Amino acid sequence: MRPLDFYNLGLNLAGQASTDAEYRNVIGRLYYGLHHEACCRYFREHPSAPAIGSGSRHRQLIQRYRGLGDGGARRVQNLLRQLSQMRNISDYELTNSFRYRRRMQSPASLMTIAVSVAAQLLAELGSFSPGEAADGCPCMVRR
Amino acid sequence: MAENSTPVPKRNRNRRRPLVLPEVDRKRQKPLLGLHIPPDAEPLLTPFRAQALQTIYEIAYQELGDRIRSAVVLAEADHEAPNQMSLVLAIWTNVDGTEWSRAFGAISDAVLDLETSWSEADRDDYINTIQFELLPLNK
Repeated sequence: MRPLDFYNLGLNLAGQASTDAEYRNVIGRLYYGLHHEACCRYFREHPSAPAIGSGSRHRQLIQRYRGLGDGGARRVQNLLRQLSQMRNISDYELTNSFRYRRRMQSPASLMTIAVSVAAQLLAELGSFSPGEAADGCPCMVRR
Repeated sequence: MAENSTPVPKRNRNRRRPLVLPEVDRKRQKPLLGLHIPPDAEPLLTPFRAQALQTIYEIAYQELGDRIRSAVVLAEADHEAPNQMSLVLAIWTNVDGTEWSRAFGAISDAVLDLETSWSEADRDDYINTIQFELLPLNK
């Protein structure tokens, strides 16, 4: 499968979601789709870069983008980190409402924000490395 | 909806003014105007970081004016590295869609330009410690 299959599933679910579990699931699918997509595109652009270890792969990938220094990569890093935080909140704060950046949010409202951030992240990835990652893209994780 | 941050002063968003970097007293840190700083973030707030956060806020304010609804600074641990703390400047705005996208790009580019005016050590400190987020409010 392709990484964006997760992302597209998340978008489809967003249009139909009506329960907290569904809103939270959307955020997770959007994040994981774009995490894998970002990983594939990073190694497509930097095929000789050292593999990412499996221990803290999310943080490592964000750091890789941060280390590239150019504006496009930094925007990817910024948005990927934001979406990662939303994914953590949505999967671990299992209350009806919770504080996110000092504002009260419901799972539904956080999902709406996540959809915006995810769409922007996908656009930034398109500028960083045009073209969707392929089926079975190897993300070069060292096990 | 609960609101725990300092309100942003009203201002004509069409009026542009030159960006003025805030003076930083290296011995005694000045408060950050317009930003809510919770106690848990204060230990991380060196004079340079305070200046950087203030300047990014100013950049965002010039871009969005009173369309910024609130801005807060948080101390946040990385969930995969709990001892790695960051300062997050979260700016809530009531713009969304293409306008939010445009503002995010403009602020990101301005912050990148700003980084070039810093020393390498300050730039590394900024990159490793500070994140800014532009978040669209749900309407």
